[in-house]
Amino acid sequence: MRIAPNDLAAAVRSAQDGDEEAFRLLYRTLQPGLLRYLTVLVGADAEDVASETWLQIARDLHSFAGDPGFRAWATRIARNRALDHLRRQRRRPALPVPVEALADLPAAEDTADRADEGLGTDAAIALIASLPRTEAEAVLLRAVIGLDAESTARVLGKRPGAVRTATHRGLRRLARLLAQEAAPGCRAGADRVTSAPADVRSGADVEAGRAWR
Amino acid sequence: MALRRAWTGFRRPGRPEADAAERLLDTAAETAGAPGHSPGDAPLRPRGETAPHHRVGVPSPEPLAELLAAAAAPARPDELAGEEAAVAAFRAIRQAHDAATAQPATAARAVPAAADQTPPVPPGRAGLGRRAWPAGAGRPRRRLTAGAAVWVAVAVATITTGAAVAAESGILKPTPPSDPTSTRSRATTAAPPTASPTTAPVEAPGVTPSGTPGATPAGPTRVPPAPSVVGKCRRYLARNAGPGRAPAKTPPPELVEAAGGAAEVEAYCRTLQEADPGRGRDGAGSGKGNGANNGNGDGKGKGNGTGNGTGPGGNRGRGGGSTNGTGTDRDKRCVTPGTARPVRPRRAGGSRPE
Repeated sequence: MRIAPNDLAAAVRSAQDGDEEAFRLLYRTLQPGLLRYLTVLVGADAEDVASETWLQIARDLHSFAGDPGFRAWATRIARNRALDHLRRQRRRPALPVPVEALADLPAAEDTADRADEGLGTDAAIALIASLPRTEAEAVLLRAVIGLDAESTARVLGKRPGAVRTATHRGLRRLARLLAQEAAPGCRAGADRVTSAPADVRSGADVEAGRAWR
Repeated sequence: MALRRAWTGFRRPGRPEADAAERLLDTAAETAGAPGHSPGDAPLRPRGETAPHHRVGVPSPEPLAELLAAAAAPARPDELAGEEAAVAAFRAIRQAHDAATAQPATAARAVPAAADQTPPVPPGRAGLGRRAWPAGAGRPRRRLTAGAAVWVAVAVATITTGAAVAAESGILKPTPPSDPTSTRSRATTAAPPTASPTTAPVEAPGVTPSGTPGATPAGPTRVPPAPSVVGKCRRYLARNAGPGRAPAKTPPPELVEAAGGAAEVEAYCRTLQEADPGRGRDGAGSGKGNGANNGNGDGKGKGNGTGNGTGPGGNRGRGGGSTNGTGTDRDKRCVTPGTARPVRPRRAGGSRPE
């Protein structure tokens, strides 16, 4: 559940005054979304970039004015760190979660309680990451981090209308992917998701034209 | 159920699609970032019965909504593994910040807290710090420093422009070269290259030539003009006033500049000549000297001017040789040696040796 904006603002103020527990609350509130978002951007290096992000948040927290909203502010920091990282790596954001990593995950039945949360989350992030980057970012910022359209646009440096379009397009593409997966039959979730990026390139658009136009 | 409604709305083509997408996103976002939630906190999510479908790929009536819900699922413990490190970083940064701000705070307000272990603070920041890590303390300080920087910049700009304006308006400028003698100051620093005797201090007629002319301190501010100017003057006067020459010759631009105007050139040059060689000329013998010798002899014994003339020549160290050399030149050009010479013809009425 999302922390109420007022509570978040209060936590930010407390953290600015040096309250460690408030900072801890901020971390717990934002870190999952940021980490998933960073996974889409930089893949396996997401945790390193997240560490850099929190270091910068801790360093610059006192200068946060509260204007754009803490969530958007922190997300922008994370995004900048990720882009710096990519620039350093001189490589494009690859497939976010390595296929091997997903394949090695234990079967859902073995760890049923965790699979509901964990595997599902990883698989969902991996599927979103298979979208074109702008669409993936827009969907993640809106649905996972919880930014509104305006904040998302500010973080991405695009106009709100463009972000809205990208979000909807991404959702449509995801729906297509899911429909495609559901059609051939039911196999393990992980297998299906790992094959998703290939589906995007192969037949998704054909199917899309039939289904949504 | 909200998710199901959102999904069915989303599936419908046309107008409602966008709204459905927004609802879908909002619904998913509500589940995002549960702080410290363990899976046991499931009641916070309004879809306990849909939990089995969270795995993507499991057939679900609302796959997209399930996908988004899974993507925005509450934090897993491994996702929060960096919490202690982040908090430690926060603590370290805050302590450093405290250390940086506590000292000036105590200095300014005698706040006792943690003043002792604080390292010294750069003096520029003293007095700016208000509290240790106050909310938004960085911003006012930044504004203060930024304001100070702006003030310094403005002050510097004012000073420089003031200087520039002053220089432009002549306050700081050396006096314009209306007076020919003053213009000679330009030539002061440059040691006279040739043996032109005019480099002798101009305004110190009574001074004995013993003073080293190269040092140029003889005349208070008056200094001999550049040799080139002197030479040009000579040439100009010689040509312009020479008996056989065409009278109207445009003076060289250097002379015009030095004299302060084309019309002034003649007077300027004459003054120049009189100041220097003129002395020799005043001495009766100067004329002879020139005529007879190549300048070594020029005016040597005679007249006041001799003092000047010889002084420079001898002291400059060019020695007799140089003088002699110039002397020969003189004979050809009729210019260099006996500075008196160009003038002399005018007065003497064409007694030029040439």
